[in-house]
Amino acid sequence: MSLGYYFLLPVIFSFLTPYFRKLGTSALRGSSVFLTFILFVQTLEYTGVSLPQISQFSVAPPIGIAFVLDNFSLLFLLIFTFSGFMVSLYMLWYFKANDNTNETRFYVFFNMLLAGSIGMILSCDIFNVYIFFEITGISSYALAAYNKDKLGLEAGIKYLIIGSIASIFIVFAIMLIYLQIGTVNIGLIAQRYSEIDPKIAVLIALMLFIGFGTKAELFPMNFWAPDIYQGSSSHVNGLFSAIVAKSYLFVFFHLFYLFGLNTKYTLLIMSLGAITFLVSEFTALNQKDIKRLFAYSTLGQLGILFMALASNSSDTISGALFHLASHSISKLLIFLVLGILISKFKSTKITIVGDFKSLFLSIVLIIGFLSILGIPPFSGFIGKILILKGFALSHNYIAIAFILLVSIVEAVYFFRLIALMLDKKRTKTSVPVGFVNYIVLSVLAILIVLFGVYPSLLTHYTDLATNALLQPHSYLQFALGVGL
Amino acid sequence: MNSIFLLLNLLPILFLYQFGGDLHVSLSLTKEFTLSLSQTPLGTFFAYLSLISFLLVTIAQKSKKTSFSYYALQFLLSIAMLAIVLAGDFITFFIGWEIMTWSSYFLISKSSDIDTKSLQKYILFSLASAFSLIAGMVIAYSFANSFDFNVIQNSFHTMPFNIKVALIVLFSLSFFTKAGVIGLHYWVVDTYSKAPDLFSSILSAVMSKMGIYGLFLVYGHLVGYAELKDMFGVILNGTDFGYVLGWIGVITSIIATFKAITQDEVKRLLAYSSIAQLGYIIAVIGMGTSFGVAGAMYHTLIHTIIKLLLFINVAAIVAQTGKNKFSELGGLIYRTPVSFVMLLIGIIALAGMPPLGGFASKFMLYNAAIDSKFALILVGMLFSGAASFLYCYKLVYGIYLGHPTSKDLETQKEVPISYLIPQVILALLLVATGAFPGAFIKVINPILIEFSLNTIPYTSMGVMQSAVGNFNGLFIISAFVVIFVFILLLIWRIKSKAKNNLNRFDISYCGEVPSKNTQLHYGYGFGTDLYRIKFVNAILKRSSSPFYEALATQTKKTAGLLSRMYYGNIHNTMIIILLFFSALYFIGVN
Amino acid sequence: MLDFFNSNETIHFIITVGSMLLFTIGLYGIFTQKNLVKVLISFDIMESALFLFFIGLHYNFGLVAPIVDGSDKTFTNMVDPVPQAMILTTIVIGLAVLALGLSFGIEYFRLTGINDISKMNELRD
Repeated sequence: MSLGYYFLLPVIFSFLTPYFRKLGTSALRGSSVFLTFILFVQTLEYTGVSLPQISQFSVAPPIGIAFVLDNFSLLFLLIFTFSGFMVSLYMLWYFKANDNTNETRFYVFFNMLLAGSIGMILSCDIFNVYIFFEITGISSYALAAYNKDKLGLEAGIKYLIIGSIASIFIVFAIMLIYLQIGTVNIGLIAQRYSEIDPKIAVLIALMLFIGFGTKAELFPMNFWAPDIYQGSSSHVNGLFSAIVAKSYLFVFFHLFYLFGLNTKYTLLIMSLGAITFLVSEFTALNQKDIKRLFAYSTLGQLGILFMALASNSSDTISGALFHLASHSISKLLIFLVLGILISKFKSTKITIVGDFKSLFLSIVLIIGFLSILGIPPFSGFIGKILILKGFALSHNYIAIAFILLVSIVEAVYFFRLIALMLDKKRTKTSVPVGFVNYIVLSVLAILIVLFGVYPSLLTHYTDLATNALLQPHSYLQFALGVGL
Repeated sequence: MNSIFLLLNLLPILFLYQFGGDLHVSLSLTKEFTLSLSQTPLGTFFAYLSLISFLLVTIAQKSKKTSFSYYALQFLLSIAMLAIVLAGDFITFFIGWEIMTWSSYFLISKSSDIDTKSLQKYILFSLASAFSLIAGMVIAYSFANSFDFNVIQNSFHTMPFNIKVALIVLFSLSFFTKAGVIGLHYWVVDTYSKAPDLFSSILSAVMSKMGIYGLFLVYGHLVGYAELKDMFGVILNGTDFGYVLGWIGVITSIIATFKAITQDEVKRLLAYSSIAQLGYIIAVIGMGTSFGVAGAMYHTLIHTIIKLLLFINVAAIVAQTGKNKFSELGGLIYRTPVSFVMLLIGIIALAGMPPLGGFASKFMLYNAAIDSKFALILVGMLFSGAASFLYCYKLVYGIYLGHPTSKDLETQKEVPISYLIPQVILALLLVATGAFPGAFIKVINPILIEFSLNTIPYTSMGVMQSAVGNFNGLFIISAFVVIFVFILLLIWRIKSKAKNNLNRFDISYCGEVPSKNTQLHYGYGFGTDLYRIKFVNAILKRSSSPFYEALATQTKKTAGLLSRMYYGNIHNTMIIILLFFSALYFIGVN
Repeated sequence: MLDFFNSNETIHFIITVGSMLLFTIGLYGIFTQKNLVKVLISFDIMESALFLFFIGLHYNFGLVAPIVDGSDKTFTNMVDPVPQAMILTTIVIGLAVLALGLSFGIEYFRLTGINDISKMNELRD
């Protein structure tokens, strides 16, 4: 299958959604499951293929449009397609158990979101990256507001305004690049980035930084993010946390290393990541709204990822990628469980965590919490210790102390939730889980445990991805069309 | 269910016995991480200690209605501890450590009188301890390029001095928190007193010992006592480092002893006593002499036995009467005589009186201090040892002696046999360790060899060798038994004339007739007079809680301050982004 | 004298200054306006400024539109087509965002009667 189908299939399915709706709700839901399943299986097939792979349209690279899949993007592709598959399965239950008047709208933008975020990580043309950036953006604004309720619309409007700012910065940067070098091919830009007039180069770098950093929720550009998470539905939050934020993060660091910005801006991004982590974990302590709480938790984890991915050392980056994958799975799990609780209790207060009675949900939720906290034997632990080990090897002890100290603050609210869950004095209501959710949630929980006890399953890919990120030689060859 | 888990608990013991002290397995997780088990004499000692404790506690659980998840978590906890003490590298150690943390957290949360605050205290201190450990281990990794204990041990002396100090401080902080050194003990008392009654015995007797195991591992194995001597120099006959630890331990034990005396809740008293006893171990663990290590090891063993015995005893009483305060108990001696005898044996050992094991271990501790010529530390230890008589007395008086404080106590029956079996076994162990103190030298000597220290000469089972003299436990205990039997006979003769059952209003009062609500039991006010002594008052009034409460308040305030940034005004957010960009641009261009 | 205006430098200068002015107007709007519609208009003004700037700088005197009609196979004397294609795409995207934003705004106004973005703060700490 050509890489182009990763973009084309979701778009086609997205446009066909109203037609599927006419065939019936099961056709609609089934089509989405089918699509995400196909994408996921296809991605699994790519794990056995020698990479990078290229698919081009019209003219040969560097002119024309091309998709390149290297080991770095493969890891993200695995995460995205897997998360998409899990969410689409979950939606089978969700729209059966809840109001499904907005079902069609959700599926249109869900498929579009997949198309956009996958396109963003595969595209090796900075202008196409921008287009996919906007497609992802528009579909996530729409997903935030798809219920057309007051909070959702507010979230949608806020997200849209921030997205517009970010896109202006990115368009400006792309234009400056084109004016300076005359190309939009990422490979060519990477080769000739050093030729740009230094003052303009700073401007371009900063604009890309602000553009993607805003979307990737880096402090101090992230004041909007908790609002969006609070206003959107829980499963949409799962998508935001597992797919959308990660795709912006991908572009951010892909360009960061390809353009050789790592020599200059490492300290800036690491310290901003650290501040993000600190501020959001502290702020999370005060939250009364469960979705907002986990929004801050997501921001905090992204902060760690920024710190570790910018660190320039292969050990830390490999650990960060492990942490990224584990965080995606864990946060998806948490948000999906919260979705079940919220649809039962019709409330987003923190106390709903203490009100339900379901052994299965409690166990998977606690697994998710412990994994994010980095407690063995769950996957988050491996990610965290790999990151810390990487920092230790580069003798960056301040970062270690910082991460560990702030993690204690993080533990405060996570264990407050667990204590709420274990509190026997509260009156508990049993919650229907739904057959498909048993499968989805246990798959996610089993993966968390599996990566925790058998990490080499994942470290294999994260190591390859780190190599692809730090030594982009073969990627550049493919992007430039030299290796063909 | 109980018998299934009893058998399950037996399995690891058999497994350990089967390997006969030479277990070395490793399993590669990733290219950097290996899980490896590597048995050392030190680990074997702690492994048997914890496994047998779990077995005894499981026996006691027979008559208490216990859910499957409780048993399963407890079994997981025992496996985690086994992983800790057999670990051959830090990854295994840490995984065991964290599984221990969360499985015990869930066990504690099963108690009926636990509250969120105590749970939070417990888990946050445990995690702080774990994170301190993780910091230490990754820093060690950055120099040794391995998490393996032996590799770290071999490359330790090549590290820079400040890194060495940092490692020792980080590891010490981590294990001190688990052992509950004063200042870091904020979680201990609440957790021990509010945990399920039988689980408190595990917490105090076994889990706190994991901290001691960690200290042994770091000081004796990873760093090495010789290296400690090189790094910090020698004072008197011990290391400088040991002197500092000596003071930490002595201060811990003095403060905790006085706090223990004033407690009204039985389990709180035992919790403070546990802190105090671990203080002794910490006081001698850093001395770097054979007797220091031997004293610490012996006291570890004895303290485990005593605290298991006492906590099981108290758990039985609480389960039987439903009361857990001294002011609500009393006069149970005629209703539960066997329990009384068991508790008596326990406190005799706890107070360090001859002829039981407690004396032998205290003897070794004092010996270690004398051997290192740490006279002031010896004085401190003796002082707190003498003060500990008070809470030992309170324990036996408050529960068993005096008169019952309420009507239902008068009709109590003896506690179920399943509670008594482990107590009897433990009491016999105390007698055995008192009678054959020399036998333990055989256990300690391989550990001393492992730490490259001189071995202690072994003459016979009954004789404990030391630098300042020997004592023959067998002789002492025989003498005591003879005297004891004589006195018992006397008492029995007198008792037959005395009134068998005391009425709770069977007291003499001067004019004022006590009502139902008047607190008549002596245990109620015991220890309150201590406030009148200035020195003790100063200790008792101080507490670490204001510090931690202030820390919590400050954190909350910071959180409130920081969360003001996220006040939902999208217009300002936009402007902040634009201004941030211009600021960065001006910095970047210039 | 008017030849002065026919030089590339002048044209580029005028376009640069003009688009910067336009951009500043948009920026001013963003800083001062709180009405959602006005904010969206400000964004559009900023985007237009960027488009003008980009297209304008790629125009030199004497060049023709990059349209290949089959008769002329020589690609000389043509304006670089890539910026134009890019700008066209960007305009479409901008339109989509604008339409979505306005529809959100309308729906939100129907529900709450608020169109001031600084008063949309039901979602907050």
